[in-house]
Amino acid sequence: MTTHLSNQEFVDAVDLVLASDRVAHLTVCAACRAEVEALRAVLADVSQGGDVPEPSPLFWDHFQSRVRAEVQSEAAVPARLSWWATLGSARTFLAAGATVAAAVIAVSLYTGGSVEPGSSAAVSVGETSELLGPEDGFAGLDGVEWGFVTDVMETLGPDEARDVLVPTRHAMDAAFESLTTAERDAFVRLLTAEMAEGLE
Amino acid sequence: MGAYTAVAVEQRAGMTAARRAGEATPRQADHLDLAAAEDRVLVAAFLAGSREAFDVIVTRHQRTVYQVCFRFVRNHEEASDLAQDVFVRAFKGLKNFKGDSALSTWLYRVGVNCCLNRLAVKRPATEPIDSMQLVDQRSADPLRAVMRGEKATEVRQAIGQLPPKQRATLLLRVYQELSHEEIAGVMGCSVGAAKANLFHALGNLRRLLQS
Ligand SMILES: [Zn+2]
Repeated sequence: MTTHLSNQEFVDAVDLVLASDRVAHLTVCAACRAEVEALRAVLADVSQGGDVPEPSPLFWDHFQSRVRAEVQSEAAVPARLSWWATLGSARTFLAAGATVAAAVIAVSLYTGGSVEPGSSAAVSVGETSELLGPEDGFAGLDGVEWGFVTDVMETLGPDEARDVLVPTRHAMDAAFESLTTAERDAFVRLLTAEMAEGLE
Repeated sequence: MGAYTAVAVEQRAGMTAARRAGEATPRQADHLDLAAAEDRVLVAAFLAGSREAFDVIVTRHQRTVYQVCFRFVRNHEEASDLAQDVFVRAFKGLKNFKGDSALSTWLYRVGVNCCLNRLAVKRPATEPIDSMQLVDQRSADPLRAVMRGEKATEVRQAIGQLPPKQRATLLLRVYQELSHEEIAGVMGCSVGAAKANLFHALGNLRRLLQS
């Protein structure tokens, strides 16, 4: 006699799609036939236990409203980045080798320039990805400050610089726009400290 | 711009709220008869920014999704929470829907994952009293109906004791009538593994029902 049915073949037998050579085994093997019949009996029992009570018609209207409200509330969360999330991003971003954005802020502080929220240096962080020079009137940087920025950038290869700069534009825009004045001040202090550490 | 539209646009483009305010709603979707549209058309319309398309998706699939969840947890409140979670996840994840399976199959996958996650952090499901007392009132023979009701309760309790993946496989096969191939797609396993899961589920049920 051939081998008994495998697990999968038992399921095929229950589904009536067992390969013909295995059906031949089934006709001569009482043990396999008994197993198939037992599985069919369990399936018949299971089919009796599947009733799902129908909720009230009002439930479905309410359900749609719940889904809509939940989607809206979840969508509202990422619109404002938390301070700690922003901080985490800043640390990652600095650890990656620093960007012109950080350099601009650091340079402004280093050279005594003010970085008040709303000032050109603070709010134009994202614009650094445009790779503008001082001749473009970028952020009001003078030649000394721009030199500092380019020094930092020279530590990165061209590909690294592009990788670091390009994706940061909207993320940094959004992050900075979401900060309060106090958070921005703290952010700038942190960036400055981290930059100082990194440059030592 | 509707809520879903605004969120969808934000998800796709990562725009700020101010930028979103000036964004026009994608327009081809506005001219479709969404209620009669196929699922793939609804998905495309949703991804183009149509809030109404997602509403239709929810309306069309909410009962099935709820039933899958209910069969897992046998509790209306939990099932409705899970079904809601499924559609919220769908809203966020539809952009990843490749269209190589039916939307319903994809929703099953999301639903089964939600249910398995819920089971992983919860106590074993128990049969609530109200559903234990459910009796098929349509039967002309009350005694037979009671016996059938008791049997159904016994079966549901046994199903509730199955390992989660066996339970999911069994429910999808018997009540949702999915093919083994579809179940494999939902469960993220091979067809052979899906069949083996079903075999083990039935074997375990037999033992549970005999004991
Ligand atoms: Zn045999």
